[in-house]
Amino acid sequence: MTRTEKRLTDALRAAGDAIKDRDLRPLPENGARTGQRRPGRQRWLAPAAAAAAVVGIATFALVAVQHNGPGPASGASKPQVVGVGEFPTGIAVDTATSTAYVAAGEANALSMINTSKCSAASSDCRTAASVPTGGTDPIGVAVDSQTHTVYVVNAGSNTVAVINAAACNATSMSGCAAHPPLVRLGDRAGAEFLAVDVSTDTVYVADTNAGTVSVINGGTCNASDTTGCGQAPATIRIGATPFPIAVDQATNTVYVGFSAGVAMIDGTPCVGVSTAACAKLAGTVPDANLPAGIAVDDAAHTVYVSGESGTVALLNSRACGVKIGEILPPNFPQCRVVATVNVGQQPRGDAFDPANSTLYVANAVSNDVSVLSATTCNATDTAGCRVTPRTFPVGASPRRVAIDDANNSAYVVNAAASTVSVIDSSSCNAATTAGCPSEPPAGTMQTESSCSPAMTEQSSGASAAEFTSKDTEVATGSVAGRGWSLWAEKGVPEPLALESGGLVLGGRWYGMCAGFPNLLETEFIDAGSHGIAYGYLAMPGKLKLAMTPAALQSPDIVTLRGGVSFFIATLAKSACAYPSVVLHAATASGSAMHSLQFGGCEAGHDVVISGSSGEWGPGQAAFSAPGPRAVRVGTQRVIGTSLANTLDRCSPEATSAYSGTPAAPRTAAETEVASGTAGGSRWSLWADPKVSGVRRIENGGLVLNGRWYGLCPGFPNPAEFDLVDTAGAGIAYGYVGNPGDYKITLTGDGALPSPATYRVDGGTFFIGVLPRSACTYKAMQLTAATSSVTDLHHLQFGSCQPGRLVAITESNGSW
Amino acid sequence: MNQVPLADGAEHAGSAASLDGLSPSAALDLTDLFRQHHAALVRLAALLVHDMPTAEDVIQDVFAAIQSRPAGTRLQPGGELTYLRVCVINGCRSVHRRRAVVRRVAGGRNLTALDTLQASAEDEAIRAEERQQVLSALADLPARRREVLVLRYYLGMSEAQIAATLGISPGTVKSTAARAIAALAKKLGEDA
Repeated sequence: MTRTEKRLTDALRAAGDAIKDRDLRPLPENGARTGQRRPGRQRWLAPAAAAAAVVGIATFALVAVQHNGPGPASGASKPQVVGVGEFPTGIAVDTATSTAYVAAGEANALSMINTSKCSAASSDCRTAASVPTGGTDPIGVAVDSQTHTVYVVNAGSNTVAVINAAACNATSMSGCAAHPPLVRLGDRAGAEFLAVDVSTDTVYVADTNAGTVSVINGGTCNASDTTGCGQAPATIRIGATPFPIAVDQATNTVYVGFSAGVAMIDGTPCVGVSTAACAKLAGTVPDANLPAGIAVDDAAHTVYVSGESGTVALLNSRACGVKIGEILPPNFPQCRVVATVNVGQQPRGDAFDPANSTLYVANAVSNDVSVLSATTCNATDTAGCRVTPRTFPVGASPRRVAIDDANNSAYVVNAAASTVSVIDSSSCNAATTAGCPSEPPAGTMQTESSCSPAMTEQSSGASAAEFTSKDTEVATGSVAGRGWSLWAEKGVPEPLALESGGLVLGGRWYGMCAGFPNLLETEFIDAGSHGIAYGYLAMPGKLKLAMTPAALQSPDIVTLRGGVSFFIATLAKSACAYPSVVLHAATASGSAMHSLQFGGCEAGHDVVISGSSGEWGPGQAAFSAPGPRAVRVGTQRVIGTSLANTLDRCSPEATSAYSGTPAAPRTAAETEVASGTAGGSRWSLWADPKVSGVRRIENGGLVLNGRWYGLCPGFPNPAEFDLVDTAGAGIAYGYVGNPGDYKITLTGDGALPSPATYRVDGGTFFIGVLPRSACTYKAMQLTAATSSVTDLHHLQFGSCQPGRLVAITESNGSW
Repeated sequence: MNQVPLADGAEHAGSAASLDGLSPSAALDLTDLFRQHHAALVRLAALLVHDMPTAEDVIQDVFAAIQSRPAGTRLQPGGELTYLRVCVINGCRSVHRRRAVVRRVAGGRNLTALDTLQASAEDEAIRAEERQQVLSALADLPARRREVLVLRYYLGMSEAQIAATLGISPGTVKSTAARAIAALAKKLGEDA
């Protein structure tokens, strides 16, 4: 080993060793994990915030919400968190013992935070102690302050643990039992949240799977009397997926959110001691925002229902709160949603703080908390409901909030971070955010995209002169009365060329996401009262576009060399007015969607993209937009012709290394399936008889002039091809694994001769002669098309030796 | 789009099967892979992109991309780590592509920080002038050469393994490594 090699080895090892595990972002998967492992999607993705956007597209409704209000004031406080058991969700505070109880689902434990020490006034936030809950996956927690009892729903085992709050709390664990008394719910696991009516000592448990609410008599099943815990609770039928639940202590009305709205239970006759009146609901209120959290401000007679669609709905508890024995008629007009407020993404739990007239709403996807003023947005005064409340950042995936009046603190459960954020509610509320955290806790994953944001918005808006001197202008037009031109890097295929190039608008440069080529890219420019959106779709064919909620106005669409469609359009409002958008695009060959979440914006620059994700696939319907908003483009301009290329990677390793060897040893174990000549060279195609499908050919190979050449040995790719350099000439060959009558087209730096095609094993084998040495092609694209399907495969090439396959350095495809 | 509330209990065992299109067993494999290799992959990425936060982003993106693959796709048994390394290297290439775009527009040297990695490392040794020199010189090499050197001298991979990982021939690995070492030596003022 030379001195240089020794120094390099030493430096690399030292640099690698210097990165300690503790230096890495804290991830739920990091470190010891106890209890059973359930790799739920959200848990897995929570550490991968970039991935959250991927999930976001598939799972969550990205709903049009008004732009979030300004964040916390400058000079706001540092975030304060306390560690709890893994994947916490539910939380409740017992002021009598200064304890916040947190149900840690993955730890099968109840964590206890000392709120007298870990609060707004005191930052002694050591990791909370935990005790078992006697079941699995504890989620909901409630405290009955009258009986000093903590009730915990074990969702996995469908039980409710009964814990003595006086003897099992943050300062005294003498009464914490390894096996606390349990109330067994129905057979179908699914209960999650619960609420306690302290005036009647009744516990109401919403059972999501059973569609019911169980009613437990807390008078005989509590910390000091467990005689009634063995009795099967009465149940009341709610509807599909009852989830959040809260009690209005003033009217003894139980509010239960379910898939169709909010159900009311008359809690006066339907109590634990007498459940005969529980058979019938007092009424329901339709609410389409998918209730996920409920909080009651009994002074203002307002019920706040946060919904997964990104809103909080308001009910008037005087209209909806039932009198004893009253059954509200269907569609009772007075009991309705009186107002809705836009909050963050996928709000879950909420909590009302009467001291500051503030509703705290935990937004699980945007990792923040909205602070809504109950003074100006309540059941009788909805003037303030039109204003999107301020938010402040918390940890990853906040789920629920609890208020501790005694310590002026709000506790926010960060499920994916396994922490609880401690907030000073006296200085971080709807009236003032001076004391709100200005940044998320250390280690919190940011929803930054791996796509474009980090640089393009910073470098965008720069003078275009230097930039354009290096590139080629590929299209021009005008938008909103301003001329634009599109530039591509020379000698690079699309859409890579566009990604390395960019848009020039008004003499200023605006870039594209640079990375592995994405099928669908979108950027917004803050260009005044009407923003400008631009981007491209790398699928050939006439483009249809639809964006929500930011509708594209009169988009100008140009088809470029490589079949890439570029679009540019104005927006109805400022580009800063949209917190998130979803773009749908489709051509005859496929469709795609791209979801963007935006951060800050600055006049004349690209808007910061804080989250970006996309999905694409063959077929127009794969990710089609709602019909009415789709923009059909009849005047699409076409500049040049040919193909497209896209994402996904083949794995062509090794083929170039092992190609060109004598064929005899390989063909002995193979089956010949086709043969012919190409450019005067004899060829035969061989298949692996031991396997079937695409692998049959991939495991086999081509014999050309007695030499062996393989195919990409990666995941079976529907459209595969390779190049062989044959002493100054070249042969391209490949296999399309899908059935169908495929037309094969190859494009290098121009159209190439059509290869001959053969139907083999249900697929299409093709082979053709290149007009010059295979070594002269830096990139090539295969298009395999039937009347209904188009497969694309783009390759970039590296080293080249006579008689060998050309090394493939990059491989992208879509099918 | 969900039509029912996404319950906090959506992570129940019964719902794990829908882990982004991967079959349950594949999902388990992926979770295990994540745990086993996350830190090592971050180190690999950090040496290639010279920026810890970016390296961690690369790893997140790699796992996210794998997880979001179509239903039924699986990692090839035995080849998981190789596959992950290839993905990481590709991710790092994306980072360099983006940086290249920034350089094209903004001019100047790479804006992202070898300094970040060095500054964030607590180890005194990495702050030593000599190692900084080596790492800086490494960062200035073309991507392919840098990748080959990191795989060879950090991961200790053989030429064949590097060839398989990078999709090039062993001969190319050999020649690239030799040229890279020569270039590095020149930058360091040494005889290779």
